[in-house]
Amino acid sequence: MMYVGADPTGKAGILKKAIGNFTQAELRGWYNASPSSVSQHVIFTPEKEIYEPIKEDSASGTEQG
Amino acid sequence: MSSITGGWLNQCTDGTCAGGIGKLYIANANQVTSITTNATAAVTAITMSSTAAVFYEVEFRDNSGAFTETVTQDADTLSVAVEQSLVGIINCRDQELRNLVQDMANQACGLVCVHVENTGNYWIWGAETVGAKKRPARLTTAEGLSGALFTDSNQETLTISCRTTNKARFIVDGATVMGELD
Repeated sequence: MMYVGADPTGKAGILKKAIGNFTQAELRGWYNASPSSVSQHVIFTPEKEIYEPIKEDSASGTEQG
Repeated sequence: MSSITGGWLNQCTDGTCAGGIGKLYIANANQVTSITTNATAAVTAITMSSTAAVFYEVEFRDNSGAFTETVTQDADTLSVAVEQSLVGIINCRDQELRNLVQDMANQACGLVCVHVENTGNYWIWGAETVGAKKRPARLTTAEGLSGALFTDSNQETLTISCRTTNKARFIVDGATVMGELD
């Protein structure tokens, strides 16, 4: 899965990146910005306090652009 | 389930704008996996199924593209429906245009559309999920016309429509986002 849009961490500019290559900060920012639409891509595990891309997303491509 | 949170005042310093559509971008709806929205319901990101998935540009004849969006709330049931339609004309029918029309017509998964209005604003539609089901846009008609006289137009008129419950959404930094996706 390829994400194109505002940097989820709040930095200026547009981010183009495979979700499988997202950092924890990017996953956290993305999830918190729009939980309803992002929950199909990112799972938050409260026990571990980590954000993980779903399997299908994490298997996709490499960073672009 | 929402309340109005503001009104609309005449913006004297920026209160005029041009009509019409400049460019249309279309993608296979099955390759657009989600849109990310911000607190104002504008789109901040588009997620595609792979690096190979892109939006394709369609340029209409000048002064021919028009987008119509009608919101209807039934006075009795309060049910809300949004009907969206974009019409545009492309000059000079050829094999490439024929294939585009045929592929759009045969795309059972539908289309996600982004059109650029002559105000400079980018709007995305056909990307909404209603009742856990995608509601894509579809090519509803494409009328090819040869014309009769030398001075007649040889053209294809495309109509793309969508039935949903949400109005088209503004794309934040649309030119940059779409520049990365086409």
